This record gives sequence, structure tokens and C-alpha cells, in this order.
Amino acid sequence: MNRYVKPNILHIMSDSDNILHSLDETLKQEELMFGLDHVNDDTEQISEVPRNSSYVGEPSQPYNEQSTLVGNRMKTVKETSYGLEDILMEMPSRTLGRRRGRFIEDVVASGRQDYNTGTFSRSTYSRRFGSNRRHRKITEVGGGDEELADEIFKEIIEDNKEVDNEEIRAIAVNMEIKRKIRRQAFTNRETKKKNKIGCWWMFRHNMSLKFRHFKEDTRKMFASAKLWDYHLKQVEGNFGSGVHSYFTFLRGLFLLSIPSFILSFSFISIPQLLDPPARNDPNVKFTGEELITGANWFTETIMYYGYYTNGTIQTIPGSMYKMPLAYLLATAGYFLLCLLWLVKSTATSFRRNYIEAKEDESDFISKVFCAWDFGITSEDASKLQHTMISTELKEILAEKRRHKESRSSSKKCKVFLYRLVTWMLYLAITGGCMALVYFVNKELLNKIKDSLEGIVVLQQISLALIISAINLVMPIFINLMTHWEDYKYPRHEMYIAVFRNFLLKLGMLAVICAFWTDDDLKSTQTNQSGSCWETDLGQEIYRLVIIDFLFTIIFATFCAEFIRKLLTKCIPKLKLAEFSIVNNVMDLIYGQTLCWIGIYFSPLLSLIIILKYFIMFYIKKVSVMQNCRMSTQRWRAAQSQTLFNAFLLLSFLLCAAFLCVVVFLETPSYDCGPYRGLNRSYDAIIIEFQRLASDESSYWFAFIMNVISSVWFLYSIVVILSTAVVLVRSRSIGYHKFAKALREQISLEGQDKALLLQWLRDVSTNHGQSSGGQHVVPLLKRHRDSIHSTSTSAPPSRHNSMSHEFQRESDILTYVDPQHLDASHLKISDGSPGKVRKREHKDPLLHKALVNQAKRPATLYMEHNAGDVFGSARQSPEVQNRSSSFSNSQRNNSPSTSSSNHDNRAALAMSLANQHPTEPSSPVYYDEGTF
Amino acid sequence: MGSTNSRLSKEQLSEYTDLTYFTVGEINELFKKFESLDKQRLRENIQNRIPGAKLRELPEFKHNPFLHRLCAVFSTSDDDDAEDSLNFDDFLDMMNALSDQAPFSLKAKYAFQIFDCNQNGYVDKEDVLEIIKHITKKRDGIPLTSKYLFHKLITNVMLEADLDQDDMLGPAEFEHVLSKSPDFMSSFRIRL
Repeated sequence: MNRYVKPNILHIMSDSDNILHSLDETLKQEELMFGLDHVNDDTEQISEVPRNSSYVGEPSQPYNEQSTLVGNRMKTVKETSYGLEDILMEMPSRTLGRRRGRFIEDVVASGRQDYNTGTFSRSTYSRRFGSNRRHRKITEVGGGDEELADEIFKEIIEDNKEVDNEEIRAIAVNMEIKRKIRRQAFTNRETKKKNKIGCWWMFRHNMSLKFRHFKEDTRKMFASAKLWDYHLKQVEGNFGSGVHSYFTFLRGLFLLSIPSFILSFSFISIPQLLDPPARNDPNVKFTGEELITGANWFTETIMYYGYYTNGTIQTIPGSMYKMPLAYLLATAGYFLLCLLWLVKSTATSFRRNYIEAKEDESDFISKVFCAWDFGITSEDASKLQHTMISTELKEILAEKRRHKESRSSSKKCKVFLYRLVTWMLYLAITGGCMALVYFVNKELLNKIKDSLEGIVVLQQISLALIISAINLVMPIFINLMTHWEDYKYPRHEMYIAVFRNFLLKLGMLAVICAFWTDDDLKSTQTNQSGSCWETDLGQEIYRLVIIDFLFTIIFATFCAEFIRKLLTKCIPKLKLAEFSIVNNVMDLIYGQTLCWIGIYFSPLLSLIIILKYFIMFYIKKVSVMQNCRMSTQRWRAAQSQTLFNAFLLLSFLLCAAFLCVVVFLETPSYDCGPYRGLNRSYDAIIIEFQRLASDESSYWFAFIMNVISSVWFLYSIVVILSTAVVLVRSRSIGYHKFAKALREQISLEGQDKALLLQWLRDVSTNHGQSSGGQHVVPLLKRHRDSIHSTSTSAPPSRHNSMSHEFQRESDILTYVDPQHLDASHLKISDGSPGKVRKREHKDPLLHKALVNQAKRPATLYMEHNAGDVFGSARQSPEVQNRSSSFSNSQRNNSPSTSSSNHDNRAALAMSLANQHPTEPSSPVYYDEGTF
Repeated sequence: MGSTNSRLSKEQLSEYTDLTYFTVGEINELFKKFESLDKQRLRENIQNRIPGAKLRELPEFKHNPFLHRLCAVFSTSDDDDAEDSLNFDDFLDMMNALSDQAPFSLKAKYAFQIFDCNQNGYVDKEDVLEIIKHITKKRDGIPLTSKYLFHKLITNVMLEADLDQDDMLGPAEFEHVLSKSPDFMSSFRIRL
């Protein structure tokens, strides 16, 4: 009987599955003792049958008796594994959906080890979905804590041999039981220690235990030492998880910039400080305005690229610190660090929020089940949340309706035109801004400088001012523009607006970068000798960072939020400002982009950035708490976080690309910086390699470097990576198919449940005849199709070769089970109640098939009532227990009778058929009880 | 942290740290919170019970519309009169499930029990209705009065979540559904 669909595949989520599964297990147990005991059953049943038949004979009360009969029949069925088998075979999920059921198996089989993870081993299964057994116990067992604890403990032991705290914590039971499990685990460990004398084992065990403790301790330490946790909690309590996500983003960036600062400071700045080169112009004094312009006195400090030496630093005797090498490697290390962090965070959030979640489909679920933010503590926030949720629920209903009604073509056309226009407009604006920056840089700057002769500061910061002003004003326009575009979903509107803002900001930065790296343009700016374009670019970035920061503080925070708050007191209509998460996060991303561009030209920029984030956090927090109100739109924190991470990653990659160009292609300034005199910065490393290669003592190093830099090595790496990508990709496709198949399987099992319930209802209300099995109708259609194709060949005997017959799908589809036949499909030849009716099938194809079937005496088919067995199993767990206990009892009484099963079955079926005074030659027999 | 003046013994603390996701400091903090609800009673015996409604005094639960469900689910009381009363164990259990570190499966299992308002082992339409009523409490907001709207919402939720089309969500189904909605982990938590 190998025709169960793999139990663990079916182990999905449906309840009907639970029923089936328990039945499966019962069946399997019966299988075990089938050879000996089964025969005994059958003989018992035969002796039982005549007693039943007496009920049928009484015409006066057929319906009542029918149910008793059914009850007895049911018992008969229950006592015969074949009956259950048959029922199982009739369920939609195993007949109608069999092809798809097979598909799952195929996928699993063809996928080899790849899919082993997909089908969940038992332990992973229970870890992910929780063991069914455990859950059932928890929900159903009221008392008996001790037993429950035992049970769970055993289960964990079974799964992974070792009961650790992590495992206990994740069990959803109350503290008392957990305590018991813990105690058991402890004693278990102790006894193991005593029993197993293996020294190595003890050592390993102890080490793993210690390591686990260590891991746990560090985790807890980190968890308790979270920066700004109190503030974050306060914000979340008042403004919900949306605003909270902005602050966690800010904190993340802050934490990222600390190691980067340490890296650049300790490897680049400190060595240089130990051996400070003399200033070119010792007369320059610190005046204070440098803090804004970043020029003058700052120019020749460790702040900028130009100050660093190209020699070796030998302050500490015996040490040779090569500055050019250190400069490049520290920067590269910083970028590597950022890359790792970004890729990791983006990948995890992407996986969690987009791949694992079917994005747009879970609207209602998340808005109903996940709407309430449990973290909210303030009254206003909770009121607002109630309001917000109800408006939102209304909105999504409206949205759903809108989604259904498609826009008319004229409207579509209008919207399309409108969007075309806005996109053109947007591109024009972006182009304009970029051109403006370019011209300011190239032409106007000198003129401005002339006209602003006296005010040096303004001269220097004019470009930064212009860019920051554009950054401040344009987003407002862009947001408005996007709003007019009439997007169906507010979410899409947000995405588009964010994307546009992002592009605009990056565009202007790109112009600046291009300007400074283009040789012709450079010359226009840096015509005076002794100047250093890297330092100039570093200063420009410095100014941008500072001015941007000031603008954010002054305009975005102070004016837009604080002044507005003051105004609300005068003008009652004006409400407090909403904290715009999108704009603020975009500002952060922009600031971080600046940092990445500038870090190479100004190693200490990360210090500025750290200070900036630190101040920003407090200012923003105070401003939010004091001056803002909660947003009226709910924020899908998780998904937008992914988006922001993605933007951050994108801008990081662009910056990295730009720096690669600078390092690998650009000629560094002739007389400043660590790479003076070289054609490219990268040459510093090449020279070092060559030196090492030529050195006899480091021959191995040169060899390794040769291998690594050889074409073949790179080629093989690329090949390996692309193979891995292809593999992973195909695997993910496989998973998708698998998930789809499983989903279909679940819905089919749901149909099973509905069918079973229907049968149960039919039986229990005694109206089986009139309404029998509506759910079977689709099944029949399928049958009919298949019969049509193979009706000439006689279907195989059902009972002859139980274990082999359903191995092909065509078999199961051609076999017509009388049980499937709906009353509506039958001609009723004799309508008088009390008599057993002889029926012929209306459908010629089915009729033919049935006749074919009837011609074989061995196919006389034992009747059973499916619905009742399953229905009652579904109804109460007791029945499940009963059926399993039944199989146990069966196992116990096993006197051996030596006759073949087949004969027994035939005899049983015959005797069942003989209960009714019908013509034995007629094609199909039906008993009323079956409907 | 201030474990010296704690009324919890060292063994208790280590046991609690083993069984929950909290550190010693956090457990002490939680105990202080719990104690503040009814100092007198807890002085007598640490495991004395406190009626669930009292938790409203804590800011974390003050506005929580599911407080009564939380108490009902986490209470281990056998007493019929005080079905939703909590002792410190229960309280810790509750905070543990709602903590930041609790894994998804734990949260989802308790969420299921909390949302199963009529306690029939399934989240069915009745429960969904109850949940929607809870989260859209009409105060000065716009109440969702229309029966039609309720009906629509429930049908849609079931349409999305009900995989086997039996109009109710079993535990596993519910867990699956929650795993598809990324907001769950951030909304079903209470920070300490």
C-alpha cells in the first residue's frame, strides 16, 4: 500500500489533513498486523452481518433503521483497512488532484537533495510550524502538566537529542511546564554524564555547553546595551513603528560610521599625526569660519587627502609604515565593511519582506491581524491608531473595489498622457538642476567670487548653498507632481516620489564628481599652482555635508516643525506637522552618500558624520516628540525599510564605482597627497607588489599574488559564482513550484474536508438520498472524461492486487466507484420506499464502465459509508483516539485464520449484497444506506 | 543591575533567565513593574495572583484593546472566579512572548490563541469580527458601523487567509498567514 502521498508533504496546514494524517497512521498500524489479524476481522464481520440485515427487511421504518444500519456499516468499514483506503482514494485531493499530488512527489524526487530541505525534515518542520502533536496537546490537554512536560521533553529529545534553553524558551507553554521540562533536561544531562564515560564525549559536551552559554551571554549583553533604547521606545510608544523605523535607521547609520571612523583614524590619521609634515603656508590661522567652509586652515591638516605624505613613516624605530599603501587599504577596508553590512541587512529584510511574503496579497491579513501596534503606550496614539485602522480598512475595501473596476480607456489614455508629461517635466527639472550645478561650478563661480569680493565664506559655500536649496525645495514639487499623477495605490505614489527625489540628488552629486574628475574642467578651477583637486573635492563635500545638515536642522526641523507648532496656537485650523518618514530617510541616505564619496578625499569626514548623526538623533527626537503629530497614514514599516536599504545599497555601489574610477583611472595631483608623482593611485599597490615579488624572501607572496591576479583565477571565480547563481536560481524556481503545488494540495484537502462534512451531514440528517454528495459531481466529470478515453479496457480488479493497482494515474481515473455516483445520475427504476432500488446510470459512459466492472465477480465491492467515518473523525478528536486504540486492540486479539484475504473480502461483499432481495445479475447494486 | 535589592532569589533569577528571553536586569525591572500593581499581596507571596484588569494600570497595557484576551490566554489560574488573574510566572510568560527576541513561531502561536476570541480552537469569522471591533474601537474616530463593511472585510480576510476554504483558520494556517505579513513581528511586541 504505497500509495499514500508522502505524509510529510501532506503535513501542511489544513485541518482535514490532520484527520487524514491520523487515519493514515491508523492504517499504517493496521498494515503492520494486517497479515495475521485482518482475516480474523473479516470473519467476525461476516457473522455480524446477518444481524444487520434484519433491520433492512422492515419496511415500516426504513429511514430510522437506515441510520442504525449505517452505523453498523460504518463500524464494518472502520474495522477494515480497505474501507478506509477506499475512502481515502475517493477524496478530491487523491483523485481529482492526484496529478498535482503526484507532481509534488515528482518535484521532490527529481529535485534530489535540493528539495530535501523543501519537504522539511521532521525536526525542521516542527521547528517552523510547531509540532502538531505538541500543539494539540497544549490546546486540548487541560490538566496533567507533568505528562505534557514529559511529552514535550521526549519530543525535543527525539528531534535533536539535546534540550537547551533556546529550545525550551520557544515552546508556547506556561512557565510551570517549562520549569518541569528544564528540570528533566537537567536530570537527563546528569544521567548522561554518569552513563557515558567517554572522555571525548564529555569534553565535547562541556565545550558545546560552555560555548552555548557564552553565545547566550553575549547576546543578552548586546541586547541590554542597546544604544538609545529608551528614546526609541518613547518614540515608538507615541508614534508607532513607522517613525520608530526612521530612528532605528538613523541609529544603524550611526553605529556603522563608528567602526569606519576608528578604521580610518587609526590607520591613516594617527600615523600621519606622529610625523606631521610642515605646512606650506605657516601664516594661515584658524579663524572659525573654516568650520563651515572646510577650507583655509583646514586645508593642510589631516582632514584632507592633500596633507598626507607619500613616504614612509618611521617615527617608531624599526617600523616602516607606508602611507600610500595604508591610505588605500584602509579606505578599501571601510568600503568592504559597509558593503558587508549593507548586503546583509538588505538581503535579510528583502528576503523577509518580499520573497517570503507575497507582497500585495496580504493586505487584509496584515491590516486586521497585525494592525494593532502592541507597543503603543500613549493615549493619543492609541486613539489615533483606532481611527487610523478604521479609515484604512475602509480604504482598502474601496481600493479593492477600485481594483476591480478597470479604468475606461479614455481615462487610461488621459492618465498615461498625464504621466508622460510629468515624467518629461521631471526629467527636465532634473536636467535643469544638473546643468545649473555644472554652470555654477564652471562659469559662475568665478564671477560670483568676483562680485562677492569681501565675503570669502559665501564665495566658498555658494555651490553647496545652491545644491542644498535645490534639495530642500525640489522634493516638495516632486511630491506634489507625483500626487497629481493619480496613482491607484498610495504606496506606489510613495515609491515613485522617493525614486525621483533620489535620482535628483544623485544626479547633482554626479555632476560635481564628474566635474572634479574631468581634467579639462579641473584646470579651469584649479589654475593656481600647488592646488590639489582631491583636497578641493574633499572640501566641496565637506561643505555639502555641513550645509545640508544645517538646512535640515534650520528649515526642515526648526521652521517646518517648530514654527508651525507656534503658528498652530494662533491659527487653530493649522495642524501640527506630520513627521514625514520618507523625506527624512531620504535625507539620511543623501548624507550617507556624501560621506561615502568624500571619505577617500577626506578621511576624517566620518568623524563629522558621527557628530552629525549624534546631534541629529536628539534634535529629531525632541522635535518629533514636541512638534509633530502622528501620521494619519499607516506606515508599512517592514517593506519600506527594505526599500530604503535598497536605495542605500544602490547609492553605495555608485559611490564605490566612482571611487574605483578615481583610484584606477584618474591621475592624482602632481604635488600633493600620498600618490603624488604616480600615474594612478593604484600604482602604489602595484609597485609594492613588484617590490615584494622581486624580493627573494617573499617569493611565496609573489607566487600567491601571481595566481590571484592571473586571468585563469579570475575566470574560474566568475565561473564558480555564476554556476552558484544559476543553481540557486533554479532551486528557488523549484521551491516556487513546490510551494504552488502545496498550496493547491491544501485547497484540495480543504475540499476533502467539505466533502466529508457534506457526507456526514447527509448521513446524520437521513437525507442522503435526496442530497447525496454534491461535492462528488466535479469528481464525476473527471471520471467521465477518463472513462471516455479508456472505456474499452476493463478496469482492473480492485481487490486482487491492492498494492499494485493504483500505481498509474490512468488506473485510478478509470475506475468508477459506485460510491461516487450522485442520485441525480441514476435512473430510479423503483420508487417505492422500503425496497431496495435497482438503478441504472443515466450517463452512458458511466453505465458502460459500471457494466464492465460488474462483469467481474471479484469486483463486487464492499459497501461502506465514507462520510460517517471521516465526518466523525473530523468532528471530535476522541474518534481519532478511538480509532487508534482500536487498532491496538486489534493487534491484541490475533488468532490466526488461514484463508486468503481476497476470499474473505469476496465473501463479505457477497454476504452484504445478499442482504437485499435483488437480482444478482443486475449491473450495479446500491444500497440506500450509501446515499 | 540592581539584583541585590531584588526580592527574587538567585535561583529564581537564573531559572527565569533560562526559561525566558530576558536578562537578569530585565526580569528585575519586570518584577518591579508587576509588584507596583499590588505591593501588599506580592509581599506576602511572590506567586500571588493579580486580577488581569489591574494590568491596565501599566502604561504598556493601558490602551491595549486585547488586554482581556492576553490575560485569559496567559493565566494559569484554576479558579473560576478569577479566570484571568495572573501571577508573576504568567506575567513573565506574557512579556516573553511579546518581547523583541521571541521567535516568530512563539509569537504566532500565542497570537493565534489571543485572536481566537471564542476559544473554539479556530480563528473563524466570529473571531475576525471581534478583532475588527477591537481594533476600530469607536471613540472620536470614524466607527465602522456598517454591517456590510464588516461583512466585506471578513470575507476578504477569509479569502486571503483561508487556504483550505473552510471559513476558519486553524493554528497552522494562521501561523502561515502571519508569516506572510512582515508587519507582524514589529506590531506584536512590547518593548521593555
